[in-house]
Amino acid sequence: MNEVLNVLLLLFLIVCAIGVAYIRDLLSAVILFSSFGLIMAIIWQQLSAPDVAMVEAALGTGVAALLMIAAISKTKRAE
Amino acid sequence: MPLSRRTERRGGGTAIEDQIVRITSRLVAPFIQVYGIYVILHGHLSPGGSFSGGAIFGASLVLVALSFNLETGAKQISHQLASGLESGGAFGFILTGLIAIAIGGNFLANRAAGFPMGQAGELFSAGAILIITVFVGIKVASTIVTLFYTIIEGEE
Amino acid sequence: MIYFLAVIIFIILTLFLRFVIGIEPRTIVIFYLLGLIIFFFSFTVAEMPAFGSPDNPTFNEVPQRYLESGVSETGAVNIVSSVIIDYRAFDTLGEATVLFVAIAAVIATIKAH
Repeated sequence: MNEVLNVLLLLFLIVCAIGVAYIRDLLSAVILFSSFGLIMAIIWQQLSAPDVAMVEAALGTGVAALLMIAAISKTKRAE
Repeated sequence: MPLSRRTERRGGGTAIEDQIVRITSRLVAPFIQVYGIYVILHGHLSPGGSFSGGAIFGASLVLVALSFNLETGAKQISHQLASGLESGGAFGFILTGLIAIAIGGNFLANRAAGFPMGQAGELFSAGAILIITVFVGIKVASTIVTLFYTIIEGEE
Repeated sequence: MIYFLAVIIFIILTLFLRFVIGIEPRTIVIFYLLGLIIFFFSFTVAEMPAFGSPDNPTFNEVPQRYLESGVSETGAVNIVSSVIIDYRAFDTLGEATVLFVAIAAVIATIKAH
């Protein structure tokens, strides 16, 4: 069961990473990147590293996406 | 009364004033801040610590500034105060290490320098670890707030 | 026998890519080089020690010392916290310095114009 969950999470991670590279709308790319961070946090938790998981969930999912949204609001939304 | 309307922001761009987002973030922000303080203070007892707790606390301040406007966010923590807290966090870290030298020990020593250790597992224990965790948490939170304000207010 | 079969498959695949699909020879070479890199990477990953196994090369006397006497030496129940703020506090100071330099660089870049 645990193995199946890990493989599914890694598949989602790869799909999110490829989607961030290919999507044209920058705001959607930021939201995909934030979901990438969330899946990464769950993977850190699965690898029994809860400290890194909390840092990833706070910084990678929340703050990085907020700063990128702030940068998008100063520039254009489309690529 | 419409739920959301577009208004002119000070920087020239438009912001969506959404009532649902405002009320939700006003309701949720204090709980996020209390959770961030909890994570920082329990850094030596449970998973988490200075970096994650400071990031959670800073993200709550940025959330308020993003869902309301910059003036409301600046009422909570002003730009000058955030910059001062950031330098103060780094200064306090180094000062704790120097205090360890002053009372006899190496730089950043903990038990060897004679900090009060307390009972292992209590909240106020582990000597210099708790002090340094609080300082680094303050520094990380104010770094995030300063980064956000710098990017938003830049080029005016 | 198996190597002979592999060479046959290699030649047939190359001819198929070149003449049936019509890919440039340059692209075919890049394709095979990428396949070689992926082969060596997966070989390296297969040679790595298993995750969480007690006979890893990293499991020596250093984490043994942290796990056995970390609580009595630092007073912190969370061993990770005792490592990053007590045993390796100087590294954390460097990390805080990196944060400080980063914010100084952002302010110098954006506010300067």
